[in-house]
Amino acid sequence: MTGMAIDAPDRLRGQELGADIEALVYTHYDAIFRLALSILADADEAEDAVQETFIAADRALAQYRGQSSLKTWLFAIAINQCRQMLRKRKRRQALTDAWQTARLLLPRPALPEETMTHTETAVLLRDAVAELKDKHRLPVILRYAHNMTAPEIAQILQISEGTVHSRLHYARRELKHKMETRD
Amino acid sequence: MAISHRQAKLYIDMALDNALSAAMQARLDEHLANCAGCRAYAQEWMQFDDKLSRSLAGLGDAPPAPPHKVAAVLTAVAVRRQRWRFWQPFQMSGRLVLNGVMLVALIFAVFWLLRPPETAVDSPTPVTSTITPAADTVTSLTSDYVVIHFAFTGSVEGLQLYHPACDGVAYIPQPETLASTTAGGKTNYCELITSNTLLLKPGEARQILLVYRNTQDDDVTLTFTPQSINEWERPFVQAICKQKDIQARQTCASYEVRGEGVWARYIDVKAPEAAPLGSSIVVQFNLNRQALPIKP
Repeated sequence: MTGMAIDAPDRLRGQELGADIEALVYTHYDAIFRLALSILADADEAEDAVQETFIAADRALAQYRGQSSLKTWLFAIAINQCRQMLRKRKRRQALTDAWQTARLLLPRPALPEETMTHTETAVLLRDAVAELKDKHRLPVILRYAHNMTAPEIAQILQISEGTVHSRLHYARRELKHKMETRD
Repeated sequence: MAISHRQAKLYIDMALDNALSAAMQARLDEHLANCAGCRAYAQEWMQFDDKLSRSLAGLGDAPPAPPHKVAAVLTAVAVRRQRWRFWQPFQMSGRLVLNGVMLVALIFAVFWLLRPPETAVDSPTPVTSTITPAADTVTSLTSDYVVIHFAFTGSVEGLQLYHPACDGVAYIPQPETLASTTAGGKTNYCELITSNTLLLKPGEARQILLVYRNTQDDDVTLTFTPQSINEWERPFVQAICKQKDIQARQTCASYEVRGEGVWARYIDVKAPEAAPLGSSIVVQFNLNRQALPIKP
């Protein structure tokens, strides 16, 4: 989606909103929504998270000094919003339920055997990711679902690059172990 | 420079995160070219990494947001911004007030900590079992209690005072009990009153136990005379002789101890109702030891 192609109501343009936040919403809405959905696995909650992210960004925009890219900066805010939402949920059980729902929502068309095997593996892997602790799950999602680099992940999660590597390393081992024991 | 297997595995892990420099990558390639084990390890993890990438690639995939959702976010941002702008001055002034209150509290705390020390409080006069001071028995103390000091005069030494924690049952401790009590032993019937001082609330009564151990194998008469210094204290201090039976309480002035043994006397003490808090009362006892003629 190209942000400016969306025809937002005229009354919003350049009146109540400053141009900056408007441009941010148009440009990054989809990316933030995908991030929130990949973490929360609930479309409604993801939309709420997106809204709260841009509200928080609007307030903090004056303090943005360009130390990271706008996308990274927004992702950091979005991650914090998602964390708050996860905390609001009854944590583990709710999260497991959400991921189970997400698993059911995965497309299961009639596919050739090879593709079927891949889909099953994907489901199992996503389940395994869902069972990781947040501190390991978030780097994995940012790395593999959003193709982010270690420095970007470090900025978003506000941890060191070394910690990102170590968490990814731990998470991969944990996931591999889980997959092997399920086989 | 060649790298070890362990380093190679570390580099492989870093390679999965695209974190290898060109030099490190070259060293890893060199090692992998000569090490089948590490090559297999690398292949295994690259495959798993690829599987993970493909499995999670579509995570969170969603169609582009319809315009009305983007517009809804913009509206929400505008509304919240308006509200925030409305409340911001109040929040700022509230923060200022809070900071002011904290500053005042801090200044007050600093002054309080640095205040000059108050006038030194007179400590209670230590009382020994020797002779008591006479007239100036009421000392002002900054205390919640009336301080009762016990002092002894006469020819008897080795007196000890105990809290008779004997549940109302008259009990004269045996020498071994006294010993264990004094040594902090387990048979703690009667707790030793240290420094011959008792703290009482005005009007509060307490019983104490005065114990004398006659270690000499002789027969003696002990003459016991409670002496209150001030006339107004006299009704509140009385000595009661008590033998093994609590019913046999009687005031007595003298008592005979024949041979080695323990002489004990319960004393009822009551702090006068009118005694000011912090005052100090000295209760003095006169105890004389006089040898009795040996019985035939």
